[in-house]
This record gives sequence, C-alpha cells and structure tokens, in this order.
Amino acid sequence: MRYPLIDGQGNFGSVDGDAPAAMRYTEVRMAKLTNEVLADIEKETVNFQPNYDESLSEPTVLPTRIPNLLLNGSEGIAVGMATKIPPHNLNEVVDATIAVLRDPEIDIEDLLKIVRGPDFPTRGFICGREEIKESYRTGRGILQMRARASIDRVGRGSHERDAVIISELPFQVNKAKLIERIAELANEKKLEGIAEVRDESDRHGMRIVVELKRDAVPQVVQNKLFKLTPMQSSFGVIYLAIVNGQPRVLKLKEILEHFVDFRREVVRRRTEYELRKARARAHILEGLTKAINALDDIVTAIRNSRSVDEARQWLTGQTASMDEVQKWKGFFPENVRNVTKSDQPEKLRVKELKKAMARLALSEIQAQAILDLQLRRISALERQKIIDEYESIIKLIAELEEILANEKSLRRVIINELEDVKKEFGDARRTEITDAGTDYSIEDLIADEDVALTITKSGYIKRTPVTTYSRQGRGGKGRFGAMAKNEDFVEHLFIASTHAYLMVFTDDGLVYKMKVHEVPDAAAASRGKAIVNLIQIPSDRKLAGVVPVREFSEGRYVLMVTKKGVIKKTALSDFQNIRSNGIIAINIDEGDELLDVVLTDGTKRIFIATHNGFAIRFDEKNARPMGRATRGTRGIDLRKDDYVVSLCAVSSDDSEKMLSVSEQGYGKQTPISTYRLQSRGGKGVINMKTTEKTGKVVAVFPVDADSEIMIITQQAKLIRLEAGHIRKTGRSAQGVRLIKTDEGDMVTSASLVEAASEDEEMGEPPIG
Amino acid sequence: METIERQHVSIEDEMRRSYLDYAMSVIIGRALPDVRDGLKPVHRRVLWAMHELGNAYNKAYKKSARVVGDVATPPYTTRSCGWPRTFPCVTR
Repeated sequence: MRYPLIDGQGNFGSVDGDAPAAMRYTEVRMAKLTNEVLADIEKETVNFQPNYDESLSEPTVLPTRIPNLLLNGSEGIAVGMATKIPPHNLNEVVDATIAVLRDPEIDIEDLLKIVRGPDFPTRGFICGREEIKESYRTGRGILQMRARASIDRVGRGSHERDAVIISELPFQVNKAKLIERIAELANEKKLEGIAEVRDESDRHGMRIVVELKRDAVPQVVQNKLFKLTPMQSSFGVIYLAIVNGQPRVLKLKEILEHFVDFRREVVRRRTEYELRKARARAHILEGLTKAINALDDIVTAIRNSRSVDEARQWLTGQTASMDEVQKWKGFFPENVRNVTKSDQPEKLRVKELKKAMARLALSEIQAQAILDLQLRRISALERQKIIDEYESIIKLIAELEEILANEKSLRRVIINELEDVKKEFGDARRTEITDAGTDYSIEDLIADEDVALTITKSGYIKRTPVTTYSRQGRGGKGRFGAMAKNEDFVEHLFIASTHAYLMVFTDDGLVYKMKVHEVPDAAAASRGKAIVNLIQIPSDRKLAGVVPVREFSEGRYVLMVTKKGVIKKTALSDFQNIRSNGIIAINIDEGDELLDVVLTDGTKRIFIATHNGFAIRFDEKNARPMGRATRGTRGIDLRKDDYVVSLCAVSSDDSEKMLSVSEQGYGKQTPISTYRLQSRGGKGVINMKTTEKTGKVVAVFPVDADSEIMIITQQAKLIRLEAGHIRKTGRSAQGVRLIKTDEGDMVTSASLVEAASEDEEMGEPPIG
Repeated sequence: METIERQHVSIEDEMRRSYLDYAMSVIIGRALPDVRDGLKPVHRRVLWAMHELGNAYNKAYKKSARVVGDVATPPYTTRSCGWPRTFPCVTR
C-alpha cells in the first residue's frame, strides 16, 4: 500500500514473501492518515446500516477526505469480473481532484499532465507513457513495470568484476523468488554470464548483486534479466469499482468526479449537521443572554417557585394557568425585596414579573438551560463569555448557511480540506516514469561481437568464436575449420558481427536473410547445420552466394552474375525488407541460374571467367544499378557452349593475380593487368588455353603470395596448396599441374581458403 | 398436525438463482471497492472497528486479534478474505 491506513507492530510479511505473524502476535493502531478517512463520521455524514447480526450499526461508506481508491489502489476478483487499481501519489491525485473541482469540464489531457501515472511503494519504473494515458482514458490497460538496475564493478583487485545491481523491484514482485529465478536460469544455461547472485539487502535498503563472469557483456546480461525474470513485469490495470451499487469500469476522470461528488455530499451533510447543532446552541445561548439581561427577575421568579416545574412555568411565561401563581402572595425575601422597589405593592410586582417573563418568551429548552445554569456562570466575566459565544455562533451559522446556499463556498471548503491533507501527508513520487522501448529485440540480448562463419561447399553453415582461430606460427598445422563430410570443405570463411545479417542467394535468383546470431554456434570441429534447414529455402535449391551485411546502407551494391553471363547490379538498400520466404534479387531466364554474388562499393572492377577459358574485365560503373525484380544486362557475350564459372570484384589498382584452375588439375596465375579493360558485354579475352590435357576452366579467383587454395575432385580428392608456389604465366598459357587426377576423375571445384582476417594467418586446412 | 408447504423447483432454476445471488453478493459485498472511499467492505469494517475501539494513531497499539474479533465479518467473508489476507493488504 502506498499510504498505509494501519500502523502495525510486528511481522506483517516482507518483500521476500515471508508469511506475516498470526494476529495474536501483532499489534495495530490506525495510521495518522486514517483520521482523514474517518473524519466527520460522527456528524451524520454517511449512512449507517445494521451489521451482520443487527446488533450494531456500521457505516455503509467512510466519509474520507482522501481519494483513497486511487491512493492505495485495490485488487480483487469477484465473479465474472476483477479489479486491479494501482496506487497513486497523493500530491498528484489531490491536485487532479482540485482541478476537477475548479473546472468540471477539464480536458483529460490536462488531467494527465497532473497525474503522471501510478506510484508504487516499491518505487521502480513504469515504462510507456502512452500505455499509462490509455489506461486512464479507457479504464483498462497493461503497464510495464521495471526494476531499477545498474551496472557496477564489485570485488577488489584481481577479483574485481562487473555486476548488475538491483535496488528497486516492480510492485508485488517477490525478491526471494526473483533471486531463485535468476539462479535457476543461470543453472539451466538459459542466462549465461552469471557467476553468482547475492542478496545484500539490509536495513538501509534493497541490493541484489548479480555478479557476472569475466567474459560476459553486462548490458546484455541486464537486458536478458529484464526479459526473462520478473524484473520486468506487467501490471494489468482495470479501474473497476462499485458505483451506486453497480460495478463499473471507470476512467480516471470519472473516478475523480465520483470522489468530488462524494466530497460534496459529505461536506453538505456535515454542514447541515453543524448548522443544526449551531442553531440549537444559538437558541440556548439566546435564552441565556436574555436571562442575563433580566437576571433579577429570573432569580426572583425561581426563588419564589416551590418546585422546578413551577420555575420552568414561570420562565416560559405559562403563569396564567397556574393555580399557585394565581394564589401567589408574592413573598420576597429581604434581600430581594431590597433590590426591587419596596414601595410598590406586591401584587403589582407579580404582575410586572409576569410581564417581564412574557417579554422574554423563553422556550422550554432555554428555560431548562437557565435552570441548569450554575451560579458561577452569572459572574460578570462568565456572563460576557456567554454573550461572546452567542455572537460567534451567530457568525458561524451565517457561514454554514453560506456554504449550503452557495456552491462556490462549498467548493472552497472542499479544496481547503484537500490542500490541508496535501500539506500534511503529501510526499514525493517514488516510481519513475519513462518512455516505452522495453521490448527487447533479440539483438539487445546478444553481445555484439565478431564471430567466424564458415559455409561449406555443400551448404553447411556454423559460427565459432573468433578466438577459436588463434594465431598460429607459419607452417603450423592449422585448425580444422569445419568437420566436413566426404568431398565437402569450407568454401567461405568470414568474420561478421553477431548483429549483422547474412544475405543468402539461391540459384533461382531469390535472396533470403538471416541474422548471424541465428547461425548455430558450433565447435570448431563440427560441421554445422545445412543452411536449407535454417531458412525457408526449398531443399532442391542450390546456394549461389552468401554475403554478410551489417546494415543496408546507401552507396553499396549487390552484383550478381548468372551462368549465362547476365549481370545485374542493385543497390544494397533495396534489400532492406527481405521476407522470411525470400524476395526476388534477379529475374532469371529460363534455363539460366544465378551463379555468384559479390558486394561492391561502386569503385571496383568486375572480372568474369568462363568455362572455355575466356575472361572479361570491366569497370563496375558500366553496370548501372537496377531495381530488384529485373533481369539485368549482358556481362559477357558468351561463345557457343560456354558458361560463366567465376565472378570476382577486383580493385582498380591492378594489384591482383588471377589464379585459374582447370578440370584436369592444371593451374597458373596471371597478373590482372594483362586482362585488357573492356566495356561490359564484350566477348572477353583468353584467360587460359584449354586443351584436352588441361580440361576446361573450373574456377578463377584472385590470390596473393600468402594465399592458400583448395582443389577438390569428383572422387573427393582434396589438395591444399600455397598459391605463391604456382607458376605465374601469361593469359594464354596452359599452366602447370596442381593435382594429378586419376583416370575418369576431374576437378570439380577450387577456391581460396579464405583467411579469417587479413592480418592474421589463420590456416584453414580441410579434412578429407 | 402441521402441514409443510412443498414447492417444486427445478435444480437449474435454483442453481441459477442461487449462483446469481452469490455472484452479486461477492461483487457488491466483498471483492470490489467502493468508488467513494476506495474500501472493500472488510477494510471498512476493520477501520470502523478500530475507530470504535479508539485505536488511534496517537494511542497505544492494540493487539490485532482484538480488532479482528470486533470486525466479526459474516462467515462468507471471513472464509476467503480472512485476516491474514486482508491485513497485510491494509498495512503493506
């Protein structure tokens, strides 16, 4: 409860969910604030009803001065309906109540500026201003609550580590259970990076320390904690309450209006009650004042009365019907006689006295009050007091009448009382309200780090931490990049961030997208998973190319080539919205297929090599960017029976050497500068002199002295070579034998064993 | 000899009526707060009983059991909304 109405002593439970002590062990009394709830209850402000056995009566409602429904909230499940009202801040709610009183037409938006949202005793955060507003506008909503957590260093010296420190919890979250949950998630490896959880809460406040492992990313662990534990919880609000005996879902303004109406009624009833009391008192005081002014006559009358009844009759002027008075001889004791005029006949005096009494016209009540008057009250000072009281009560009556007659005065009374409550009990807001954005995308839960991705020739993919590929000395044995099956080997290895995308192109010209972190994390020696199982690619499709992309920024292009020499360049930004079932990257002609894809920056040169030993090199500016669902243009004019085998994006500084490998295992490297720069769509130049001995070209790609290449044959023979040792020759040469192929066998593929990064020598030996 | 008047009531009707009565009594008489004072009946009774006891903030604490005894809520309320549940709710 935000504003407890009961002040208890003893164990009333805790945030850890301990059971409170039994009622025989605890003590209670009302809180000071409860005075405001019960204020004026004796003044006939509320109706009473008999209690359950009709032995007593109890109030049907308490005449509260504080808008308790909003302050302390409520929670209850009835039949077919439930209520859940969060607690609020007193200052805000009281201000809003006053605002509604001052301007009943006040706009809901203006009210929302005053009431910023629920205010929980457990502090914490509420995320999402819009949701809060919505709940006030409609009476329902779901609010997101969050714990207060920070990242800090704990421990000393070499034991110093990062830790997530939790200091405030969402409303109604059980601390012990939360800690249990965190420990459970850590044990089940659902939440990695947690070394230890400690509850360091003490009498100074809450402090849960989630100590992290050395390699954990604190922000990621914190986000995961929010996502997986009740550190972020939702609060389903339903402002359901009883209005005139009917349950109703209420908007904020309606709640305030009902409270205001109720205050009006209470204050009106109280004023009426006070007015009644004041008038009764005024009546008595009026009588006493009269009596004071005619004190001698009254004393004479009472002294001469034989009984109280007789005196009362005298005072009320009912002497005419009294036998005793008729027969009254007018006996005046000496001292009184001295006061009254002694020369007058007694009969006359009685007459005068009767007249005087009649003039006073005292009522029974007044007469009784006079009779009850103590002698000391007729001393001069006391007499003045009676007169003063009478005057002040006349004033009070005027004020009370004003309140009842004038709506404005009534309102002022209510407002003043609310201001008083605010002054005495108002306190600062505890729960902080922040903007939404609590929905974590999975990226928030995954550390942004580089991983090594490997894709095998037959389409198996996996990722491994970059650290797996530790630097080795030259001539080291290397590490297995992937446990390949039979003739399979790692074709692509690249470093990409876990937050990056992979664009996966298939031979039918479609492109799919997956996140790098969606690639299974596997041991260095394992094979990984077939890419067709990770994205929605029909299993009969072949992989044409895989390109890692951090963001789909402007100024970068996707360059595609088909087997029949069609090329197409499309801006990378056009690929922003790739659906899970793929989108078209290029329209493929009947009988053609997408062969390869490279990423360019607009300054590269394109190198396309064919099966029959031709190659073309042209500036990429020759290919103008096109939309996605287009066919593209001619890249190379193929001769009869020829087809494209390789696509490379090479630099414009002519530094590369192109390595060509043929079917019968021949190879050579040729400086790229010897390939004359042509324009797009030309027939190309000779790249390799293909003969029966060498066989046709299988692959062409740029290498440098340190590059290693891999050649694989139909019969699953594999060889790994250092490119630097391969003979450098001119374009029309045949090259040298790189691998001896058996009778009937031939090279099916060759590729660069790509280094993990340029400045690290990371060998990639395959396993055959 | 006294005759007892018998009436045939179908069990469906009886159940429907009884359940509706029960539902209304829960809605009005137990589970939901009044919009005016924000209190559920049992909380109101607790405060009223304490008020009657003179258990004010500037007086000495009184044993919780005394208040409970005075509240003496009707049985249906006590059963599901008894002291251990309502009180922490009032105090927390």
